[in-house]
Amino acid sequence: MSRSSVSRAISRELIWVAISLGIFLFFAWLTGFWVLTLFAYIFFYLIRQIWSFYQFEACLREVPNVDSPQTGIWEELYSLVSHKQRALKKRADLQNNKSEQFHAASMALPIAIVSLTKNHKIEWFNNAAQTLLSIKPSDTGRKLETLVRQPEFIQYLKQKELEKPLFLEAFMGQTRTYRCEIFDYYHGHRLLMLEDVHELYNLAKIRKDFVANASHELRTPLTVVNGYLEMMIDVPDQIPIFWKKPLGQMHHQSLRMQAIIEDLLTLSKIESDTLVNAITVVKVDEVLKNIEVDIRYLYSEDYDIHFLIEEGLTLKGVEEPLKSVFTNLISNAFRYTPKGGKVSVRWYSDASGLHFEVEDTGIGISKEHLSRLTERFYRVDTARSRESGGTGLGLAIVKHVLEKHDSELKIQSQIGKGSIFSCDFL
Amino acid sequence: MQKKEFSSHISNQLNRNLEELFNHILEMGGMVENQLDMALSALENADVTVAKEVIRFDKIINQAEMEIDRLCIRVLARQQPTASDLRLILATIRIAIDLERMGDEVCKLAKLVIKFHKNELCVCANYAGYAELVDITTRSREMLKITLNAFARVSAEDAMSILDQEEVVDQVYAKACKDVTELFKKNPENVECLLEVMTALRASERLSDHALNIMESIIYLVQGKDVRNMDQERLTQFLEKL
Repeated sequence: MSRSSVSRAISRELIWVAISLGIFLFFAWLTGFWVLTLFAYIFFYLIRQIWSFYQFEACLREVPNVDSPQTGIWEELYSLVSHKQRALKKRADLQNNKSEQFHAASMALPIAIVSLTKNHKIEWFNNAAQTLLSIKPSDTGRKLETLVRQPEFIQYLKQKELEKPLFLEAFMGQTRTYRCEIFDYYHGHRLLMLEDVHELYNLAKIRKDFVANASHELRTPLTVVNGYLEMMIDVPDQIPIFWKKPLGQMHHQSLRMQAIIEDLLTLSKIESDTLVNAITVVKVDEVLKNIEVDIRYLYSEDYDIHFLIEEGLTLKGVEEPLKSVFTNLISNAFRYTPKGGKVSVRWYSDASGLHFEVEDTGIGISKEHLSRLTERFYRVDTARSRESGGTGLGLAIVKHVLEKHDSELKIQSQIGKGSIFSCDFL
Repeated sequence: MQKKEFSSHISNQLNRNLEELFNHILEMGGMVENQLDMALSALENADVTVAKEVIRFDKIINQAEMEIDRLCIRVLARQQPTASDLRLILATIRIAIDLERMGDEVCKLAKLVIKFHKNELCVCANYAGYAELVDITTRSREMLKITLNAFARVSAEDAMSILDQEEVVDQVYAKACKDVTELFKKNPENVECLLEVMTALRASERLSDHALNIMESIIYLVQGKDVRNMDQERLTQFLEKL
């Protein structure tokens, strides 16, 4: 479109030149002053062009009281330039508006955000940061550690590699829990985020304490109940036949309850970090061989069992929890595989690390359950799991223990064909 | 010297050294703040483990003071700073001394908690002067925070509020002393405990004095004027001019 209008302007200019030149030539023909008229015409044309150029320039410089050029090419040029200018201004306004909106959004966030340079000098921060860190707008350009002087914080700030967030129990004279995290962003700049997580932290702590205390308190009464039930079952002559079946059921259920409580206690122990203190070299091959003996004793009649264990392969970790990971995964495989099925356990290493894998030809798990499988007491099929004697906590324990060993549980499964539970260690 | 820029010298080394010195002081200040926070929570909860932690922490603070001295000597010997740079060095040395003393006073507070724990006859929270002790310590903590922030911002704007706080602390201290003296007369059998409270009160009052000293050093750094021995009226006039 612009090209056609420019060419239109040129053609208009050419028509104008032709007409005006015609008039001058007619005048010359009448008077006979050919050379003089030609010079006069060139002079006139030059004046016209220079005047238009002056108007064009003045309009671009926004000089007052000067009209926009009205002649030929200059008029068209001016309209094109001003069109382009308006479009640019509109875009700039839009960008400006967007960045202002972005700025306002970051100001309104309830999390404190501070942008720092490579040397921890403050660049900008939002309103929440002003109150949480008690810094003022005039502090821009100062080093953050000169104003926030808590030793733990300074230590965290000085770290080169910032992976884990820092939890501060007290900060700037407030005894509340804060979550502090620093990211690298935008060409070596750093972004500090500080959030008050006191309520959440307290809630998690209350839940942990409650589970630990409740299971601990329940353990003793259950042992007593269980003991008496066992005593009654041991003397079958003295109780009526009618009570035999109920007593057996009661004993079975109380044993199940005990198992649940033991698992709950294990879980809260794992969560409270007390286990991680004793990291040793675990001879996984030996542990698995011991498990194999038990498993073969229990299931070798009904199942096709394969143990493929690489000799001498060890892992840094805590032995007891790891053992419970392996037994949980292996016994799950048997629990959910019909008799006559095949279960294979593999422990091997390759270039990417160490791997543990349990494969079965069991009933399988459908996709929608996979993500929730490691939740406490989550059941795919409630009736079936109870009857098979699980506590509902096995996979939760597995998940937590693996987290402490910097690994995670991977599950592949197909309904009716079987499942593979695996985990990788570095 | 309104705004401290460490990039205005021809010598890059001097810039670096001065900035390092500046950061060191504030880092040391952060340690004392942290120690004081811990001591406060130990006082309020009669927590012996925290109190022991406070005393352990004092060693690190002493080391920080020595490190600052070393840095100051290095700058003085190698670069012979003048004018505001020289004032910065002098102020730094003084502030480091005050901070180290504060660390010692905080340790005295922690020792009170430990002694009360050992001597079970003293139920500390019931004693006269204990509430005042916590009050003075909290105020001193606030004063320290204000002075260190003033140092970080190289401005003496908040000097007036420090002076006001100091006066309040003096009044509270005088009242606490009077109460404790009364108790001395009434129950002579508790002399040991009361003496401990008295020592701690004295320590917490000294904390606020040191905070004031630091503020004076900052005024010296910013304005180049020594206000240490000025009488009250002239000092107020001077500060109002700022």
